Amino acid sequence: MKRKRRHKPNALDALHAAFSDSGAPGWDGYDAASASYDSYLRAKRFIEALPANFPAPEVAVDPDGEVSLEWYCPTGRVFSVSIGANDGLSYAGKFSPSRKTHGTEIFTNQIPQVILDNIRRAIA
Amino acid sequence: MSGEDINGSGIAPEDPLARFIYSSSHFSRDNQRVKHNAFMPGADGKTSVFQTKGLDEPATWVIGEAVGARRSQTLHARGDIVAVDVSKARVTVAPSEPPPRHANIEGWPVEKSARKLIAIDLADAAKLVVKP
Repeated sequence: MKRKRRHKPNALDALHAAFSDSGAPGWDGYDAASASYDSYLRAKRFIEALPANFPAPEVAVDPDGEVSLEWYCPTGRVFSVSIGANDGLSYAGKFSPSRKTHGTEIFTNQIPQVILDNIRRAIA
Repeated sequence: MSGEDINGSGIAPEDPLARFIYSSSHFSRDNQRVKHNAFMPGADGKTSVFQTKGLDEPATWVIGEAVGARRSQTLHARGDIVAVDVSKARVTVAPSEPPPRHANIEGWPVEKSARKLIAIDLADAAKLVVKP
């Protein structure tokens, strides 16, 4: 029997949990801003736009309140994208000690190709 | 290297530093790792850490508990690094007391994506210690 993919529902559950846990200023024990609802909505849209065969990202919130999605491979490769309230995407990845990347993109209706390519590099 | 310090900070390259973690989403029990979000700087452009040289485990946790209690946050874990990891990530560490043993990781770039990459390097170097 073919196993039903539940990557996106899992990621959306994790998004909701991370957002709920980060609703008050200082939620990280330091001086973090409350999780941004605009960032939450855009992160939800981002997850829904991910290709169906991509693994679910781990979800966290940054101290500035932006939602962060991360793909981690046990070999140590990692790629993360923070989703800003104004469609800005800040991303960074480390694929080996010497192969790293970072940059910014805009998220409208489609996930930028460079982001998709870097997710593939992390999970390959 | 012993006896030298980092940029006149009084912190030696091999000195241990602890980043206390109060958010369950900032570390992974499954992969036994600290996530980079735990090392991202706050609005003041600094990441708060504590120097734990000479402290045993219970004494180290007491510091994190005390910080959490002041802010009504539950301590979950900590990320242990050594000071040279900070230098390798191209940021600096500077003592900032009080409270005793407190220090900040400073010198973060303005661009968020560059900060994320540095935080990834720090998290990569960190050892996760989950609170018993």
